[in-house]
Amino acid sequence: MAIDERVIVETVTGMGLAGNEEGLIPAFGLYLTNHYADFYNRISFGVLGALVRENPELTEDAVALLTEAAHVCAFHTFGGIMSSVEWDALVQPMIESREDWVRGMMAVVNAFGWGRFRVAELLPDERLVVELRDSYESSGYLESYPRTDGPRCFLANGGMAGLMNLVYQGDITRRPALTEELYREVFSDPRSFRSRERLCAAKGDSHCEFVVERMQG
Amino acid sequence: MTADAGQDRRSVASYGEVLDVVDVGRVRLTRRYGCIRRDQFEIVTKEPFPSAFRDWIASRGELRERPTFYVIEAPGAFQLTVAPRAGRAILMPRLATDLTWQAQTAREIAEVLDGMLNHGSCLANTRQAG
Amino acid sequence: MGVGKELVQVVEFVRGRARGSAVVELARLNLLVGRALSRNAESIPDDPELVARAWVCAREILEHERKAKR
Repeated sequence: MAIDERVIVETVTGMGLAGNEEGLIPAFGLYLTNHYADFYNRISFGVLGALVRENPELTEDAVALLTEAAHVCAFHTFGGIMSSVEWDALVQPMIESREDWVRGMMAVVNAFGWGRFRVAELLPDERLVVELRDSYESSGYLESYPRTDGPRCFLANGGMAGLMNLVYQGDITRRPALTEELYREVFSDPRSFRSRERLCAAKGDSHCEFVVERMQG
Repeated sequence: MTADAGQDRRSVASYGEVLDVVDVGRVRLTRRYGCIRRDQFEIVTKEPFPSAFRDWIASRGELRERPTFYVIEAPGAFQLTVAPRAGRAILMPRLATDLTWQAQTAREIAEVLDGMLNHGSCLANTRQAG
Repeated sequence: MGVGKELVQVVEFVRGRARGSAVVELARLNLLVGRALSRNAESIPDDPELVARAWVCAREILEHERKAKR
């Protein structure tokens, strides 16, 4: 059985994921937070603006930190999901190859409503190209700011690198403990994966597109 | 698993770190550090969970069933997510409970499950969780 | 006042001692100091005040990393 995205999306959306009295969503062995995309966007883009207002030559550095936040998020969130009971029950039986871990995760992400992700190309252990439509980061950016000359989907971009690193660098298929130690080991490897947002709706492209490749070391 | 198991380790533990692993008969119970106020408990068996377990745990809270797994929501107490065919469950306690109660509850659930695995579908241990 | 010698030393100090990604730690250094040191240190004058601030920030970053690691 190959990954059946329809079944995954239907099942996850039918889980009734909603915040409890703690304001958290306990699901996939994680405590997900329940808050507005606009809230995240405001913080993310506000941080970027505040960091580079005085000196635009620091934009690259601010983006590096937002991307790092996305790497940490992907490591724990995607890693947690791929180690979860729900994954075991729902996705694992559909998995036939390591690449299916990537496709399965993409289906779960689509169920979360972060946008419509589609794997355009996946070369095992080498390269991932993902198209994203209705990204809440790029659409949120355009709601508050004029069109930009650089990509703005920092979380999605770092998330895609995180996914490839979990599958091919950290071997999530063996269910390692998702410790800080492992994070450093995986993401500090000179041959680990990094993503670049080649197209972004925030800069006028029709959709967003991420290209994930290994660093040259 | 005793209530204070892993107490020394938790002072320096980070999220997801294993604090304690015990076998309750045929059930393996793993305690992981969540935060200063709550841990997370993984309940694993080599065989599928019996359907009687779902019936028993369902009496402790609200049952939400999907085709391949189910979730028990015990208000103010815990959430238990079960993949019965994979023989795996995760207990996520609420912050309103204390660490001792969390460990005792996880142990109790593991004992009941072990009892069911050993004695068919009968409720070998009727002490209540939640 | 020389150009870039001392500031380059600060950058190399952080790069060499970073336990995580050096790119991230150097980005922190740049943002804390307010100058793109990791990219332009060779061409920035070694103003004593700037150099002193860079050393303080560098030690702060590595100390924070060491604490987080415990």
